[in-house]
Amino acid sequence: MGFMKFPVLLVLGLIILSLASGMFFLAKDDGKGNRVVTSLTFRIILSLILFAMLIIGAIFNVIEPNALTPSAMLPAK
Amino acid sequence: MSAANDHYYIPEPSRWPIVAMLSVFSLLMGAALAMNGVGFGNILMLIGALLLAYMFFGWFGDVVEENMSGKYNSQVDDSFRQGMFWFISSEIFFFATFFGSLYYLRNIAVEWLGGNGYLAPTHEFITNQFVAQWPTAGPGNLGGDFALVDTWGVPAINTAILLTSGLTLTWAHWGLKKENRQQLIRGLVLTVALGVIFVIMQAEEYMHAYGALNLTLESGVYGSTFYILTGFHGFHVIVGALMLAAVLGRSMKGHFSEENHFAFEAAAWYWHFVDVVWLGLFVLVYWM
Repeated sequence: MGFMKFPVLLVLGLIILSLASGMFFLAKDDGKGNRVVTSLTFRIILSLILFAMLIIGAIFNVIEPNALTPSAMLPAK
Repeated sequence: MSAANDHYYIPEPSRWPIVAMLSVFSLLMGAALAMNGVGFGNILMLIGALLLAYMFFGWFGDVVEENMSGKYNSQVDDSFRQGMFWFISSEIFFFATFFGSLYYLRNIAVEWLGGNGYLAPTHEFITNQFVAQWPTAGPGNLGGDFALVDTWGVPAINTAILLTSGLTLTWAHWGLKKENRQQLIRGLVLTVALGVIFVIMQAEEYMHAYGALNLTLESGVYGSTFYILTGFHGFHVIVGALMLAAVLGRSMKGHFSEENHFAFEAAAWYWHFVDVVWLGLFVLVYWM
């Protein structure tokens, strides 16, 4: 995945952060206000961005999915 | 939930903990016997599973009934939130263990076998024909050659399905917050349906992987980590969909209001969590 690894992992980190803030507000806000649903809305928007990054990156050949490299065992010398 | 209630509600002695104990015992004992080829193990497992379903239905039903009859004050509500928090903490550690083992295998153990790092001599003396790479079935090529699941096939489609379900759920959530019950119910129906489609697609994919690709639980470290991670995730999708289905039933009965809807938010958050675990899997297993 090369250098594109970092933006992808960064967005993944932000997704986890928005999810965690949702949990925090879920425990704190007693159902009042919109902070839980707002955090989770950020979460889903960031996730869509991440998915779009992977697809666009693959289309422009900046990233590519895993493929199996042939033969784990080389022939004995 | 009535705010006028100023004492912390303590329920009458209940039969549910004993039913829970019996159900888990029969389920696990049945599984252990079945794995060892004892005939009635499967039947015992089935009995355990049915008892477990009965227990969840009955116990949660009691809790819902207590809540609806106004027995809970805000302190009880706090307890539920704390309980959810600790439950989720245990889930995070559960998945962190599997992601951690994936990291350890890929970046540390396989490297040693390939002759890099602190245990590099292993390579020299035992695995000198092994080239460190990922995916791998390991130096012994356990389970034989295998092919990988095509990222652009079911995994990408399933990612799109889960993301869409995240969207429909968020739409339902805003519906609840705006007291739009129709939006809440429609969003939940769509979310549960997408969850069911995800599980069916995943099952199809496993059959394909086991058959045509020869990617099995025995395919060395890759096979076992692949199935452990995606399998436990799939199990969580099933649990999440069941939770949302229960929440859907309660929404139809009008149990939730703009300010009293902890069950909805807990189940919704859980779904978002399962969705994020999948994204982590999708990125780490299929792309890196």
